[in-house]
Amino acid sequence: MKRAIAIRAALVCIVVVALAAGFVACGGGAQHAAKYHCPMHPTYISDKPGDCPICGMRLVHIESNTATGERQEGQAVGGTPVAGGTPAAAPAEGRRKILFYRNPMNPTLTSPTPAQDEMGMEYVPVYAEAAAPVGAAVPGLAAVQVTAEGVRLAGVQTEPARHERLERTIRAVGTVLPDETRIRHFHTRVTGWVEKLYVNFTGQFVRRGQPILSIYSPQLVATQEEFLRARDAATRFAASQFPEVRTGGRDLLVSARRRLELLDVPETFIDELERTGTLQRTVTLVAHDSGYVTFKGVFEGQQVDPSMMDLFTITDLSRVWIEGDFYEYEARELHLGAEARLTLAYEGEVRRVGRIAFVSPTLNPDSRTLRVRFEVDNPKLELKPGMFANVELSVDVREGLVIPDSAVIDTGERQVVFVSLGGGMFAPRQVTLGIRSNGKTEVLAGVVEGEQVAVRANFLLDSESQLRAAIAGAAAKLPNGAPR
Amino acid sequence: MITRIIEFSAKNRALVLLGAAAFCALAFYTLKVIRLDALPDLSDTQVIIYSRWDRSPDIIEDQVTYPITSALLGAPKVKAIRGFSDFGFSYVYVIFQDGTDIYWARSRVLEYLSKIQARLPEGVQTELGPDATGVGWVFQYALVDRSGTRALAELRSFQDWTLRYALQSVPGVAEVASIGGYVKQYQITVDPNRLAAYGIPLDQVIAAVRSSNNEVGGRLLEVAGAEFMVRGRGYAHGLGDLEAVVVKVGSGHAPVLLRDVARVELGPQIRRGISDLDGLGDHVGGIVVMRHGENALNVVNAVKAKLREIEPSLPTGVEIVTTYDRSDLIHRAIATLKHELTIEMIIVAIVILVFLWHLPSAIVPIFTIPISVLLAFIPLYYLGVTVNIMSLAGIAISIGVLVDGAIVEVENAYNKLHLWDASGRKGDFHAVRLDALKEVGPSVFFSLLVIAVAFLPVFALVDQEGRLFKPLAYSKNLAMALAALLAITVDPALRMSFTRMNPFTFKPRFLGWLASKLAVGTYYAEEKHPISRILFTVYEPACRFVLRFPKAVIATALALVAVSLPFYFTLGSEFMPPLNEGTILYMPTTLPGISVQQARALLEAQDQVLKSFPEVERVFGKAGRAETSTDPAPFSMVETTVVLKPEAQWEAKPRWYSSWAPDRLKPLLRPIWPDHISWEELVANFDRALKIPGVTNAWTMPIKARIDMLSTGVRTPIGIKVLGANLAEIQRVGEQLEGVLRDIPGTRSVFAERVTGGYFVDIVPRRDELARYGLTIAQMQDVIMSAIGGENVSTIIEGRERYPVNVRYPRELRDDVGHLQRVLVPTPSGAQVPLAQVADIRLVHGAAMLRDENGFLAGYVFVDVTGRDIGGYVEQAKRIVRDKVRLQPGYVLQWSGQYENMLRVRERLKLVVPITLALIFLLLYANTRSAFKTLVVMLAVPFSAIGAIWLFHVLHYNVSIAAWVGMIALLGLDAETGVFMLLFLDLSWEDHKRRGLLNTAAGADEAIVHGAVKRVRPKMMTVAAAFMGLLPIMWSTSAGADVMKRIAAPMIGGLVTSFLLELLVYPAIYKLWKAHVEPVPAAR
Repeated sequence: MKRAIAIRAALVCIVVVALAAGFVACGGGAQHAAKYHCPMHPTYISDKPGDCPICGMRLVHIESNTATGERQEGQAVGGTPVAGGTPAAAPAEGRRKILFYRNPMNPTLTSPTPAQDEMGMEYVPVYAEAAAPVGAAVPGLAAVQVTAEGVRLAGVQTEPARHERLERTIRAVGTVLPDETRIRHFHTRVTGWVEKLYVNFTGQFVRRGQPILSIYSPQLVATQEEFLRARDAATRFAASQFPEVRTGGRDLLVSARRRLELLDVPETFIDELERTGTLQRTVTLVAHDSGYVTFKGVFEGQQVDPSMMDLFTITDLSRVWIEGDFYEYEARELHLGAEARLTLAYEGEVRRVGRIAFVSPTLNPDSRTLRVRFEVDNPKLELKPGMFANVELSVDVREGLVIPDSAVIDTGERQVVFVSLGGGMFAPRQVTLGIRSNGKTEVLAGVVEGEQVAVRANFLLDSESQLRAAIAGAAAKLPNGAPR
Repeated sequence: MITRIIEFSAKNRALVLLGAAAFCALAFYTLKVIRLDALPDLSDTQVIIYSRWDRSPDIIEDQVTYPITSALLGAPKVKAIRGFSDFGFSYVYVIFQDGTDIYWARSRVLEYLSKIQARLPEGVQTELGPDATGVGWVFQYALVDRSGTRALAELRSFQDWTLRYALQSVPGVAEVASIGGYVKQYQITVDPNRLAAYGIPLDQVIAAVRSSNNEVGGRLLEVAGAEFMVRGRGYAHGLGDLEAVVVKVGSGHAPVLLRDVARVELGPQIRRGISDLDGLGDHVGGIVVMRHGENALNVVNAVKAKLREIEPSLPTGVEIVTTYDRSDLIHRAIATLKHELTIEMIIVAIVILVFLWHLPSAIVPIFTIPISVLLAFIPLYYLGVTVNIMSLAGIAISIGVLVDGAIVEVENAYNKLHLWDASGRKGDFHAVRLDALKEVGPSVFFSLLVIAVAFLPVFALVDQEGRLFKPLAYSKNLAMALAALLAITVDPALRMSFTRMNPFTFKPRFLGWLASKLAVGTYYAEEKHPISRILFTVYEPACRFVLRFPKAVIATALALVAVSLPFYFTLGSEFMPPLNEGTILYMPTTLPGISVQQARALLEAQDQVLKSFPEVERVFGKAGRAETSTDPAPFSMVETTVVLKPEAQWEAKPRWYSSWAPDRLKPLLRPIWPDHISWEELVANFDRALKIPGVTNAWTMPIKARIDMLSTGVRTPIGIKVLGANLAEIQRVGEQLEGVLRDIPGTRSVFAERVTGGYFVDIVPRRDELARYGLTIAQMQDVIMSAIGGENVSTIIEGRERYPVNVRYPRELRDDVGHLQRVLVPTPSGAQVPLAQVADIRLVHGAAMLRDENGFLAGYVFVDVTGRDIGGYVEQAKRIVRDKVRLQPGYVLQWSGQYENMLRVRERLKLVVPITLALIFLLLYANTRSAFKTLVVMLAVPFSAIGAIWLFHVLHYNVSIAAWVGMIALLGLDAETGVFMLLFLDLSWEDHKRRGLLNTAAGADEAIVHGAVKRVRPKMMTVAAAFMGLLPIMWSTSAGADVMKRIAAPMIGGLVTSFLLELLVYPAIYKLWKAHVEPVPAAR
């Protein structure tokens, strides 16, 4: 009988031990309010280990933000050291008010005075300006804690927000045009025949006074004769004792000379005529201005008369126009005197600076563009009419707080930058952007001067931030999801 | 019938043995040609329609994926059509019913596709994916330039146009996909300012390029009796020819050439996949994709042979580096299994030898094992089953059982011969032996059949699990069936071959003694047998103790069962046990939308870290997709193959013996206590080193990952597909479902898939503005496509190589929104207006990838359920959803998920399991002729569950189908041992009854003790053979062992407990039962 009791006791013992083992095993699982997520679909979060419903991968344990081994991160954030721990590193220190100091590893631990944590790490100062936007969290994004190693691997680099002069450029196609005010046409004022052309091709350079053509014109011959008669008469009358006669003879000569002059006969020719008294069959006409022959409409032997279009166009190119076409929507940026960089497509890097000399009062209805003129000196004749020039007009030139373009994550609905708070902590900030140019962006709100913003690998920071926010969100939804 | 076969075999020994030898020869031949692979092919019969078009996901969905999916609706034997639209790619997976021939399926898809191919937009390249899947990625390599002089584009050209075709011609290779480097492209970068200045619209440039690069034929010319073929040459050769393309003739008759308005240069094509070797930056790589159902080992070997052949023709300084080689794994896995099989056979042989202590008897079962294993390959070959880890595991787990029949036969013969010997050798010992064989032959045959029958439910598995475990079921059952066959043919023939009964007496004496031991042996009485004596001393007191407290014992046993069962629910579960492939696949994931440059920087940084580990041999990283339809990975998914050095070179980890054990001893200790870090520790080290913000790390293995990615459906028990036309509405419904379902009791998790992550620049035309300029939408869009997107307008033909010609704006004029505003649109009047004037440009966030199911846009809601009957849960959930979730017209909820599958399997099992149980019952009943005894035998099942559950718990294994397969295998074993146990109890009872010894309670106890204890040896022997045979699997750590461990563990655990409990509980039950049906007279 005793044995039976012993056996029963043993039995009970076995059962008790087994059940106890069972409870321990079950309880062991329940102690951790751990969360798991799929490494491939990180937004699937579960409170139990298992497989991902989407891809079947084994779920992995989500580590909390403040994992161990995150010391020293402050020293090595990216290209520019983010020395959040040392207050001296913050520019414009004097202007900023320190609110409190926070633990570099756990942002929720704060102290009103400078302090050190148990590992001797300096608490990080939190500034008044910086604190406000951190509090106003960007929905869907959370602050991110990154280890020094993580920063290095991800290639996170930061750059400070700076006050800088910035400008925006608009580009247009420009064309080099002759200065309209320097174009001369060459005509004969008499009907006649071109006996000899001295300027024979388009593009020839003509100096002022240079003979251009010899013309035989009966009218000129007749006028010469008149002149000679007048000269003879004047010589004859010069001896007269009647002053009226003398004056009349001189007047006659002067008016004959005037007639020749008005017919564009060069003065030298007239002087010669007067001196020699020999009537010339042809008259050589000369250029009135220097410049290039840009049009030639006459050939030797050709009959010409004053009603003809023109015989030559002579253009002075020592100063030219560059005219640019700007589109309607850019019209309001165009002001007289605005500075523009002018680059010749063929000239490479040589840059000229021009100012807007003229804005067309009308829009070209065909091309829908507005003409803008720049006047450019062209002593070496590098600018040849017809050339294309690139016009870059700087507009909105002003001083502003500037961060690199690459710092901004633009989802279309909002623009976010990640600000390094030191200690490997990055906080998302919604920013309002001003103008952009040359890889820089003006920040109107959201970042203060001297704050370091992430400029490289911020896609990864953004991802991490979204994940953290999703995990925190999911933790709130899970039954036993006390956020850790 | 069976006895007659035994008799026939015994009499025609030579014939039977010769026949066996002939079959063995055939088996050797099949072993040489049978297909080898690491794992069975788990893919569905699936045809991928793969389209490429550089458009955003929603455009692809609307214009490509949707038309294709809807055209395929109604194709025969199609199970599901699933479409995915990603940037630049559309995948339509057409999944056919199980067992559909892949080539039949492909031609059906082509038929249906031909209807709509003409209606797809111009520029869409639609093709049928290869007859392969991602699991067919058997070999990968990278091209490494040691000379440092070759441009990546040059290597890529070599890969694309030389290497790829060479390897693709290897039999069994479905395709060779290129990855990484730069694809050469002729880039015409137009200067919009000059175009504007010349007044040339962009489409004129494109037209000019198009019409300046062609060759034509002018048929034939007959000259002097010979015929001349007329050719009009005109392919553009090189940059110079392109530069000289005339775009326009100016007013001054001066031609405007392409070089006047554009820069013509060679550049990289847009990249959707990049690769990195060892963290050294961009490398060109190739992936060899094996055709569905090929012999992986042969393919890899042929590919390697081809590579050796090509080696001399590689550009100087270029080397082909293998980055992944499946054959290693296959070799290792097969070697492991071969090794285990050999060890098992040896152990089983030793067990038999020790237990019988009689060589001539032991030789029979020892021969039976290899022969039945070998012969099993013949039917396997003809059934088209590949040799892989699963099919070999099937054999491995049955080895201990294969010999059961032979053991029982031999043991019986041994016993009878001993009796014959002991009783003064009356009559012919041949006849005695034959009688002994014939006596147990039928029941042996049946018991082996029971084991085979018990395994039938495995064949009811469908889909992936079916494909995974059918090879195992085939090999195991075939081996068992063959063992049963051998037990009645070869075994008797073999046993009868040992004809001598008298010891040899020839000189020298020790030789004679040895010969006698080997060929004749000594026959001991069971009591005197050395092993039996030990067993008796242990078991007899235990048995007597049990008989004293039968009820308490039974109650304890039942309590144990009751206590153990709850632990079953604490075990995790998994689809497939892990197969340690020896190669790591590191799959970090970021959110979608990562750019090429960022992905490249990330990939390089990660690979550098990995490569810095001393354990790592080679790292080959890939971000984005290789040029194959079997790789739908976006840039946000990096796949890095990490090839490890042999384990001996891993970081050392001091063990208790490391400091003092001599070097010779260490190899013996290592397998049990490895002195280097484990796989898990290594992966944990990697993981720690790779904590990168925004990146979640996943560590898996190449084959496993590809299998995981194969199935595109829902994997949770329940999935709700929200089908409709508008993505936002689908998402809204999904989120609503999430909220509603969370509160239903039994919900473990609900997760509505969010489709976001895509960043878009939307150029929205202002129609009134367009009208003002007389522009159509298409004219504006042409500019978006060509100026911003860069259109491939023509193809340059360089010998065998072909390169696209691309026209677009310079990068700096299209790299931000401000610049896009200045993109010029030519108007009919000749003027060119900037885009900003006619369209709004804005940034928006949207879906990075779209899912299309049977022609509808689809969003999935994944629901996991715990602690509830799924059918009931679905009923309730459906009711609640109907009440609470408002659906707009045109939106449909479709309930699906694994539960469909589970229900289907359950339906099948509902049919198959009762039939199996009935069959077992019938077989048992036929054997025992007693319903009660049959039930008692079946009691072994819960007993074995105890051991199985506890062993799983101790080893931290998850419950997978593999475990269930092990349990099913155990079922047959249990029945077998149970039958033996009862058989011997009965025999002893009858014997004692005959001798009139049952008059007292003590006498009855004595009869039971005798039955239980005196015949413990054969029972112990079968169990020990099975048990010891499985043990080496548990010790093994090599490739493939993990899978087998999951199958073997329940068998080992269950075998121990069921055997122990059978030994202890059966006598108790037997006593109570006998007391009930045949009350002992004296007790009255």
